[in-house]
Amino acid sequence: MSPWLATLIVLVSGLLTYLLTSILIEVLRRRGWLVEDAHKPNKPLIPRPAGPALIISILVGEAKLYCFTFDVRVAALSLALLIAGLIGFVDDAKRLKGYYKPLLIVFASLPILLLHAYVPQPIFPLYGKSVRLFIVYPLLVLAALPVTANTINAIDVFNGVVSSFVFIATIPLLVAFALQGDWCMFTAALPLSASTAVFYLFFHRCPSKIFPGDSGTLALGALYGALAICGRAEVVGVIALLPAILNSFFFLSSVKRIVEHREVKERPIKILEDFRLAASTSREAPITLTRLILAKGPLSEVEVARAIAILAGISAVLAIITAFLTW
Amino acid sequence: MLRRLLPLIGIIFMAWLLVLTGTVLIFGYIAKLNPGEGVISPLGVAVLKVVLGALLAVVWILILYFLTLWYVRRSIKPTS
Repeated sequence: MSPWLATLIVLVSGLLTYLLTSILIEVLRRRGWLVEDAHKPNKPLIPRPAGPALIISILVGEAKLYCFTFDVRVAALSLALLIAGLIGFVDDAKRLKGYYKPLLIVFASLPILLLHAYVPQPIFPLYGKSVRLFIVYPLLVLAALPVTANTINAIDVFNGVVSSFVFIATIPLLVAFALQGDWCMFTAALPLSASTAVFYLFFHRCPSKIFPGDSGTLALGALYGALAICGRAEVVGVIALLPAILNSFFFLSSVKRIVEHREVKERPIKILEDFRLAASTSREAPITLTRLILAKGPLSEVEVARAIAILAGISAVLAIITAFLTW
Repeated sequence: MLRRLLPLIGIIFMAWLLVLTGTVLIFGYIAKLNPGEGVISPLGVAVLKVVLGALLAVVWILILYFLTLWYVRRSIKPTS
C-alpha cells in the first residue's frame, strides 16, 4: 500500500469535511434546521445535522481506496456507513422510537454478510489462536453494528465529545491493522480519523458550530464496527469503545428498557445557575457515564468533555495492549 | 481530574480484565470441554458448553452491574 495514497486519502477526507461542513452550516441555518444547545447560557440555536458532510467526506476517501484496491471489504464498510447514515438522517428529520434505531441498523450489517467481507475466525488475546465460529459469527455481525452505532450515538452528549471519542478510539484499530500488516484496512480507517479530527478541531469542540446529529453519530459508529469486523480487530474495537459501551450498559441496566434519552422522565444531570453540570440525586434518574463523572461534584461542560476524552484515552491504551496480546 | 476519574478508570480496567479472562475461559477451557464418551451425549456436551458460556456472560454483567451500583450509592446520596 502506497504511503502517497494514504496521504492523499487523509487530505481528501479532511479537506472535504472542512468544505462540506462549512457549506452545510449555512444551508442548515437558511432552512431553519437548528436545535438548542441546552447547556449554554441563552441556549443558542445550533445547526444540525452535520452527518451528510461527514458521510460524503468519508465515502469519497473510501471510494478512492476502492479504485486502487478493489477490496470488497472497503465496499462493504462504505455501504454500512451509507445505510446507517441514511437511517440516522430519517431519525434527524423525523424522530424514530428508541427501539427502532437498533433494529434498523441491522440493515447496515447486511453488506458485510452479503459481500462476505468477514472472516468467521476472530483472534482472541492471550488465547492466541483464531477461533472458528462459522455459525455464530454471522449472527454476531448482525448484532455488532447496531451495538457500535447506538453506543456511539448515546455518547453524543456534549460539545466535541463524540468526534473526539471516535478519533481516539480509531487509533487502536490503526495499530491493530498495522501489526497485522493489513495496510488496506489501515488506509480504510484513515478517512474516519481525518474526518473526525477536522470536524472536532474546526466545528464540534466547545462551543460547537454544528452538531453531528443521528446521521453523523450512527454512521460513524456503524463504520467503526464495520472496520473492526472486516479488519479482524473485534476485541480491540470492543476495548477501545468500553467507555461508550459502559455508558449504554449503565443506562440500560438502570432504565431496564430500550428508550430514547429524551423520553426519560428524570434527567441524569441537572444544570446549575452558573451553567455547571451536576449529577441528579434522584433515585429515578438513570445512571450514565456523565452522571458518574459528576458524582463527586459539579463540573463545566468542557471539563466533562475532557473527562470523557481521558477515559477514551485510557481505553485506547488498554486496546493497544490488547492488540499486542492478540498479535 | 484524574483523582475524580479513578473509580471509573477502575471499572474500565475491571471490564478489560473480564474480557480477557472471559475469552480465555470460554475458548481455552469451556470450548475444549470433553467429558469422556458415554458420560454425556454430544448434544448434551454442546448444550453444557452453551450454558457455561452464558453463565460466564451473566457473571460478567453482574460483576459490572454491582460494581457500578456500589459506586453510585457511595458517591450520590439520593434525595427522593
